[in-house]
Amino acid sequence: MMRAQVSSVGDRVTVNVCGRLADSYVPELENCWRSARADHPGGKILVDLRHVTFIDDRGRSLLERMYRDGATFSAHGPLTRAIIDNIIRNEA
Amino acid sequence: MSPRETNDDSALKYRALLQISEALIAFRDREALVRSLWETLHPLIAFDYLVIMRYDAARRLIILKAIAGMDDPDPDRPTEWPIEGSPVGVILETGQPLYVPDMSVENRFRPDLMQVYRQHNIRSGFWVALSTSRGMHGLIAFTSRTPDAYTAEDREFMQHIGRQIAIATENALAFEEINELRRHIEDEKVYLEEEIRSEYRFDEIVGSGPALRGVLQQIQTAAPTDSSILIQGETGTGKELVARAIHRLSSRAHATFVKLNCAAIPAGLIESELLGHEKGAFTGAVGVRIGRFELAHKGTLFLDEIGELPLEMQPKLLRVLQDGQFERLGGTRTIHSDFRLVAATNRDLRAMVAQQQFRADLFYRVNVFPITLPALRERREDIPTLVRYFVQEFSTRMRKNIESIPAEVMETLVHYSWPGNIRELRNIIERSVILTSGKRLAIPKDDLRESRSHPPAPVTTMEDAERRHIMDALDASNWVVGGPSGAAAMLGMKRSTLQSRMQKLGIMRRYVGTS
Repeated sequence: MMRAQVSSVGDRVTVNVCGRLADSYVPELENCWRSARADHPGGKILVDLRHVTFIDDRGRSLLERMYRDGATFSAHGPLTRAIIDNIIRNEA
Repeated sequence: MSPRETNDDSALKYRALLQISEALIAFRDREALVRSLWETLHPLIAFDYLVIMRYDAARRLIILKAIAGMDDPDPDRPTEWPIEGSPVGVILETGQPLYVPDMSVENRFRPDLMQVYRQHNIRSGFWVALSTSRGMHGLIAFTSRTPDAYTAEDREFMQHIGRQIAIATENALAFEEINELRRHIEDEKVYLEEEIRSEYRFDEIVGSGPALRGVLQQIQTAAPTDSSILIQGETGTGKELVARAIHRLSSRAHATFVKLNCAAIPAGLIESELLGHEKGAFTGAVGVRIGRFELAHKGTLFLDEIGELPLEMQPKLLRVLQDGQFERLGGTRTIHSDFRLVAATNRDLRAMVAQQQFRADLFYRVNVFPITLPALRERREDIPTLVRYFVQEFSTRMRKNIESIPAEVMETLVHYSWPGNIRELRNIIERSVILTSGKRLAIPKDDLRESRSHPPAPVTTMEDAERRHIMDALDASNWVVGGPSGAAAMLGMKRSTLQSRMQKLGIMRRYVGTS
């Protein structure tokens, strides 16, 4: 199960993601991200991954694309942090 | 009333009873039944409302089930009342149907109930218990806005109707209970399947090393076929996870995945576990029991630790695998089951075949598509990801804020031999998370070091150990049993004793020559 929710306070937009970013849930987050991006073109969007429990290869690829598209991440937990660190390192 | 009118009246009532019987035969839901009763009886009896209620003896409640005649039923009207101070209470006390010719002087009912009657201007009523030989289960009420609406003849007729309806409503109640139980079981099944999926997540097989990728590729290839699969691998490598993944990716995914651990069931019970048994098949067979073969019909049967399947059970399994047919213990009826077999073992079945501990024909039947799971030490590249995954899982569960895994800790974990494989890694990480008090993971290094220097030898049975020991001696003596340099002398026993032991343990001279 995964749940993604977009919230905005002023100019600050956050995509909150909870649960498993894997399998069939990945396209759902992708749609959510595209919609948030379309509503806030060029703006900074924070993707809060602190409550994500698992990320598979598809999820990791989506996060890479989101990073290239201007997302910043908030991560917690060794697995999520390692994945995000790796994405940032590879894209640097 | 003339005799002619009486005859007409009786004919009408007789016809009405027939119509009610027909309505009861076609009875599918209570609302339809009440409507049908209303239409049939209203021309004959002057009632304004017809109500069917259920009597819940356990909770001492009367529950409204269906009502006809009320044009504008109050949606907030209560549907349950205590039996005290109600028509049911009076009927239970007297054991007789209840006739109230004038509600204005009735004083046995509770005020809230009287309020409902007043609200609908009910002036008289007749209540008949719906009873069968098993007791009272409900009530039918004929109420009227006219005082003293029913003659003695009407009431007798209404009692006849009550008796007919009682049988039908009792059946309907039983039917509803069965439906309710079925719904409950279906909900429970969905819940349990979800539980199992969350525990054995194929999409959470963690790792990306070549060894694991190879296995995943084999799973994808084998799953859609209907062939038997043998999963081999050391303990803790995830054999059951793979078996469940094969089931989920197969065309049998909609049906049941049935598991039996051959090592966990006493040898004497395996047969009845697999085949099932009829009542009285043996002492302790107190009822009919469906076996795993039957349960797995259209689904997958997972036989874990198949190497532990007793020799005498093996031909029976083979027969079922070949014909798909068997009889329950104590039964004569041949049952057909169409299941796909997935078996798993951490033993070398081929060697067991050579030692006559496992039937060759069964081995070839089971080993159609072998999948060998790599030990964790053969996929060390996946250990860091697995460690991070388990740390995240357990720290979330234990509400701990562990943010990093020190490099030297990861180094220790990567280089450990992991004889217990992922199960051992998971347990070590769980213990580590419990022991960690700060943000950096701390591991119980002593456990790892000790285990590393003394990898535990696999435990075998005494018989296995004896067989292996004799085989070693025979190998060393080049299969010479007697004489000063023979195996018997090496083992410190007489030649005849050794030959007897060899016979008992099924040791025969291996074929020597080109293979």
